[in-house]
Order: sequence, then structure tokens, then C-alpha cells
Amino acid sequence: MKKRERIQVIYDILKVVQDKGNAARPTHILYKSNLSHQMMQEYLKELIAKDMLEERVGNRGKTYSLKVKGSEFLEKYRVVTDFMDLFDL
Amino acid sequence: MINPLLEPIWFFGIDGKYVPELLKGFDSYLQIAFFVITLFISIQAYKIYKLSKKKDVGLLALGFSFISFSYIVWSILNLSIIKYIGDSVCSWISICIVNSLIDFSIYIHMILFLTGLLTLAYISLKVKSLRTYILLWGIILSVILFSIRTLFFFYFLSSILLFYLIYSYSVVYIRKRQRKSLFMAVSFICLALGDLVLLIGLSGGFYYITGNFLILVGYLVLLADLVSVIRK
Repeated sequence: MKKRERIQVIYDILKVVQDKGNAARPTHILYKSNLSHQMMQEYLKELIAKDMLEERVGNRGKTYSLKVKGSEFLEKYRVVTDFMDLFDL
Repeated sequence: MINPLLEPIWFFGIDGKYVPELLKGFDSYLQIAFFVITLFISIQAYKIYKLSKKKDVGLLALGFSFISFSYIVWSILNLSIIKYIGDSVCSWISICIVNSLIDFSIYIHMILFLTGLLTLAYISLKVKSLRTYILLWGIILSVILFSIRTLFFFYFLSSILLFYLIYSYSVVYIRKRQRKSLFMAVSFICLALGDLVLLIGLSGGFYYITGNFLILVGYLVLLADLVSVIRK
């Protein structure tokens, strides 16, 4: 199986958060992003540092939500993939 | 002097015998429209390249920019000739200079246009070899520079490249069954048919108008397809 590119992994994580109504638990992200727990933690830490994700701690544990930069990334990624798909690149 | 085999009179879109009064000079405006559309596609491709850093996307931007600049060269040439003919005082030296400039501009237009189409065809070949690209470009350049029937071979070569692109995008449509892939194939069908009409109608202005309108339809379909992807 072809190794996923880094940018694809970031997209997968952010997409899970968006699909879960902008409040995804770590277990959701782990399941859908198909990463090891350690790798997922590293990616989440990086995305928070880059202001794409926000971590919230509530009564039912941690949840992650998209920030403006995260939503912008998802939109740009969609345009890029659709454009490349259009020209079969 | 102007090579008569290189430039049929309608090439400049000023021949009243073939071009109706209503459409006089229309080709210059059409070429500006082609320039704007292809430049827009090129800019969008460049923006995507900046985001993705994919080499093929950069080549796509380059290919469309070559096509775009080929149209602006042709349009400037047409508009300059119309202005030149409008001026009443023409000396022998100025005629010679203008003729040389016309020949030069036509060659620039042809080379830029074919380079653009070759770049698009090269991307769809999915062969990552600079030597292959240079070889194909060398063959095309030799045909254009050394052939006696330059204009015929220009349309002939561009038709071959466009028909290859039709085949390529038709295969993509059959594989993906997406509406956007279908429109892509349709746009190249219109462009190729337009080119073919220009090729078979080298001696008649009616074909020139029909061919240009087919090309316009092709670019408009391509533009609509691209805009629908960007603004989904």
C-alpha cells in the first residue's frame, strides 16, 4: 500500500473533526485517521501549534475543534485536489 | 517580404470579401478573449502549484501561459496591421519593416501555441523525461521553421496534439465517469474541430469564422468547467 503523504494525513485529521460537527474526540480521530496513538498525538500537537485546531477539556474528556486556519486548509485542499483531478494530474 | 504561403489574406481578418462587415476585426477581439481565458487558467494553475508544489501543475500553468501569450501576439499583430493600413502614408522602408515584423510575429505565435499544446500533451503522457520533451519540441520547431507550407503544418501539428488530448481526456472520462471530465473532453473536441476547420479552410474566410467560434466554445466550456471546480 502506498504511504500517505503528510498533507493527506493532516487533511484526514481535520476532515474527521469537521465531519464530527466540529467537536471530535481523540478516539474518533484515531479511528478515522488510521494512525498510531503516538503519531496522532504528534500531529494534534502540531496542528494546535499551527492554530488549525483547538483543544477543549470538558466533563466528558478532550475534544478537538477546527479553527479558522483549519477550515481554510480544508477548503484549499479541496480546491487543489479537485483541480488536479480535473486535469488528471 | 511577406511569404504568401505563410499568411493567407484572411489570417488578418481584414478581407471584406470573406468577412462580413459586422464581423470585421472580430478575430482580434476573439484572440483577446482567448488570451484572457487561457491566462486565467494559467494563473489558477500557478496558484494551485504554489499550494501543492506539484511539478505537473507548474507545467500546466506554463503550458497555458504559452498558449495565452501566443494569442496576445496574434491579436497585437492584427490590430497593428489594421492601424498600419489605416495610415495613409506608407514608405517602402516602412512596408519592409512591417512585413518583417509580421513574419516574425506569426512565427512567435505558432511556436508559442505549439509549445503550449505540447506541454499539455507531455503532462498527460505522464513521462517524466526532459529529453523526450526537448526531442518533441525540436521536431515541432524544425517543421515550423523549415517547412514551405508553414501555416498548413502549424494547423496540422496543433490538430494532432489536440486530438491526442481528446483521446487522453476521453480515457479519463471513461475511467472516472465524472461530469467535469466529460466537459474537459468536450472542450478539447471543440478546440480540435475549430483547428481542423481552420486547416481544411485555408482558402476561405467562412471557415476562418466558423473555426474561431468553435475554438471560443471550446475555451468557454473549459473555463466553465474550471470555475465550477474552484467555486464548488
